[in-house]
Amino acid sequence: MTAPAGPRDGVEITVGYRGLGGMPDRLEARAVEPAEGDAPPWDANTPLRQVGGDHDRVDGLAKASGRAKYTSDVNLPGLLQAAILRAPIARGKLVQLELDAARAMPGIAAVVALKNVGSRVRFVGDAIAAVAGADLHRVRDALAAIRADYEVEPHNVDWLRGEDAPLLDADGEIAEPWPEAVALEGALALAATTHGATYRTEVQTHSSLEPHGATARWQGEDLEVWSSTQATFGVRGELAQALKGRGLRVGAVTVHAEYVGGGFGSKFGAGVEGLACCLLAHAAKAPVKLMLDRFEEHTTAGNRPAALLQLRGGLDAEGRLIAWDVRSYGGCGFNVERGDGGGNVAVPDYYTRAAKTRRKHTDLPADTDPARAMRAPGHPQGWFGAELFLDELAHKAGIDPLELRLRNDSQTMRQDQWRFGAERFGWAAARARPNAPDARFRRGVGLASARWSQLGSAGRPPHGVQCRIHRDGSVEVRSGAQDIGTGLKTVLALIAAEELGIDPKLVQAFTGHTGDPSGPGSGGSTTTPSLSPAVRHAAFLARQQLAGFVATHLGADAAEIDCRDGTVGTRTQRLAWAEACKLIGPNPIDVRGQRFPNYGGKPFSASVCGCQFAEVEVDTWTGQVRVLRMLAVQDCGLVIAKKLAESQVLGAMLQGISFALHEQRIMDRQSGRMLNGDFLRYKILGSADVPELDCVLMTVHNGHSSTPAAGLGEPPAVAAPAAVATAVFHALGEPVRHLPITPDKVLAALARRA
Amino acid sequence: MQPEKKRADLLPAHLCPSLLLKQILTHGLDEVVHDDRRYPGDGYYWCSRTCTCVGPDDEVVHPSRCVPERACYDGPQA
Repeated sequence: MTAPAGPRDGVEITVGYRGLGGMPDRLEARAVEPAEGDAPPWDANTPLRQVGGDHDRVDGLAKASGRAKYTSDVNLPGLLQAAILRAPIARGKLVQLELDAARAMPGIAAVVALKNVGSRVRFVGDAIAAVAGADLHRVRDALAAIRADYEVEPHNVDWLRGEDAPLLDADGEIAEPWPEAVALEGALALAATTHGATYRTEVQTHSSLEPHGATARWQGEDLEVWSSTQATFGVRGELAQALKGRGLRVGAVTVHAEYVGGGFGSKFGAGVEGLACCLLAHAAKAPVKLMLDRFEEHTTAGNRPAALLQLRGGLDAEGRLIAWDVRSYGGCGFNVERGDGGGNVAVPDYYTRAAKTRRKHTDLPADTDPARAMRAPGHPQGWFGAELFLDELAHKAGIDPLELRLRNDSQTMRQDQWRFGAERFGWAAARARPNAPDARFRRGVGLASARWSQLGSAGRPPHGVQCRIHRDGSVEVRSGAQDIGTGLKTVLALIAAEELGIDPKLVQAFTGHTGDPSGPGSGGSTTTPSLSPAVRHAAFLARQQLAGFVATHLGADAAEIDCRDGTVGTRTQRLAWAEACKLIGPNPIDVRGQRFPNYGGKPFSASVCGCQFAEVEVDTWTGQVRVLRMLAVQDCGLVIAKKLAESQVLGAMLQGISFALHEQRIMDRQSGRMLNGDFLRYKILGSADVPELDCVLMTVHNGHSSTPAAGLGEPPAVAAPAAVATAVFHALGEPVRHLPITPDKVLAALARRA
Repeated sequence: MQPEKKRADLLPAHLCPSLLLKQILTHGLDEVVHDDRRYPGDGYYWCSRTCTCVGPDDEVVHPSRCVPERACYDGPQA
């Protein structure tokens, strides 16, 4: 759909959302001021033909057929393989490093130190040196020939055994008194129902299918890097800075990340593996590939930190929260600095608007690798504790958990989602279904909310997208940003096709090359909301140029020309798209669109919200929990690519089930080493564990940009573990407050209940 | 209700330009912080000279520490 270009003093649009399943529409008119030259806003009344449709992933065939080349697939003439020597101790000092024997071994092209003698070793797996050679067998032999000696110091890999860790009693409850808080305690004293408990989660590793790593090639002063990264431009700038001593400038670095095999927050930097790869390639004067193995992935590439939360709160006689007290701890690894180590735990604030509240958090160190952002950092941990706490409180007060949410949730949109979701899930019937007292298998249903407190980048710095229309009718759109698997290529193609009024198959989208316009790092659910308006603007500008050619050809005014249904022209004279493009000539229409800042004023909803429901079955003989079905109701701004958006939600639900039931890093206190650093013993959800999944997307027109998408990486990841945990509580009649909910904990809960 | 803060408001003056945090890459620093954090990132900071969260001087990097007084400080002097 198109509209005249140019400055606009103010445009009235319709924001909000249409009700799901007979719920009321919540739409309102709003005036916005698009930037001069930007595409006009799409709003709730804009008819869209491609955007929001059920299109396949444009690179699906390439991925399924193996044609898509990931960093680990890159093979260059004369390519060397490389690996890193890792410290075997958890704490100490490197006192000797002899590399000459390794250098002298046959087939070895380069050896570099990654730590100086005298430097501290901070965890098992700390990088010491790296080797490049003809193949990985020779490289591993050379790593074994490196002599590295250490001065070993006592270590602690258990973050809850550090000197600042809270005392826990035998039941895992924090055994220390709450600090005084007069107003809060006054509210608790007035409460009709009170409750207090401690909740705990374990370290979850990122477990991306594609490990971290890079392939690097120097050509003279220029460096070309293929990196499995969430930030092509970040890696480019970082490597230029790291290697500036070799005369490298940012403009001489090219980073490729056309396909990335997953990234949940740990792949923003080049990493020591990326730097080592470049150093080795420079020293060897040959291209080098260095990919981490799975043990390195688990132990050196970041993780979702462990968490401990203690909550207490109270309800008044009407079931309204009037007191809410939270203190939490995060277990972050060695880099905790001034209480800041990435372990922060987020808890929902929309239930407690009428309550006296207090919130305190402390990060605690351990001699393990540092936490890194992981899909909704801090949220799944905190929501698990908070939502299970609410269910326990509701149970004490004799209130249905859904009813408790409805009485306290201050967000209108989620109120609608709760009601719609409960109806679709069959909440009331499932909740009322009793388990026989002596039944081996017990069923339960639970629910949890989700919130992500931003819609994505507000457009600063102004990222761009290139759009070219060729005389053969094909269109290419290009962004230097990476598609980490979420479907950026499809998003770019659909928006361009919508703006140009053509079949998306005519659009080819390219991502992940720093020679193309800059884009953001893919984190915080920002890529789609950042780049959707930019590609829209690019296609909008390209369409204007095409309209000029067609207007000249038809003898019409360019302002009368529009593009729709694969044709271009005026109301009375139209050319097929292919015919119109023939007017372009040998040089394509070639324009760069930009991401303008968000419109002024507050969006309809400044955050993304959703809720999830789960049904579980617990085997009371074995303690095994099986999730039978889940439903997600998810706001995601303007839905661009429906199938991919649903895929994001379903993936988040599966990752959440996995976190709730299986995943935990197990550290050996004696050696400081991870005991389950592989996929055999670090259990993640498998295909046989996948339940029936239902996802309802909710388009919300927030009116903050021309193309008001919101990101979906984080939002659906928040609720799933809590929904599973509350369902288990319902099934057992006894909460399991420590994730993962493994059979031993289930059996212990059953024993407590008995 | 706390006053609205931006990430840039949480940065110390004259921060070392080699310090990196995810939010610089994803959002820019002029965006609003939605919680009560004291520092602009999410706790994981790294140095673009070492590509790890330990700086060239073998000390952990952090907004509170990557300031002109640090030996490996890589920015314009205050």
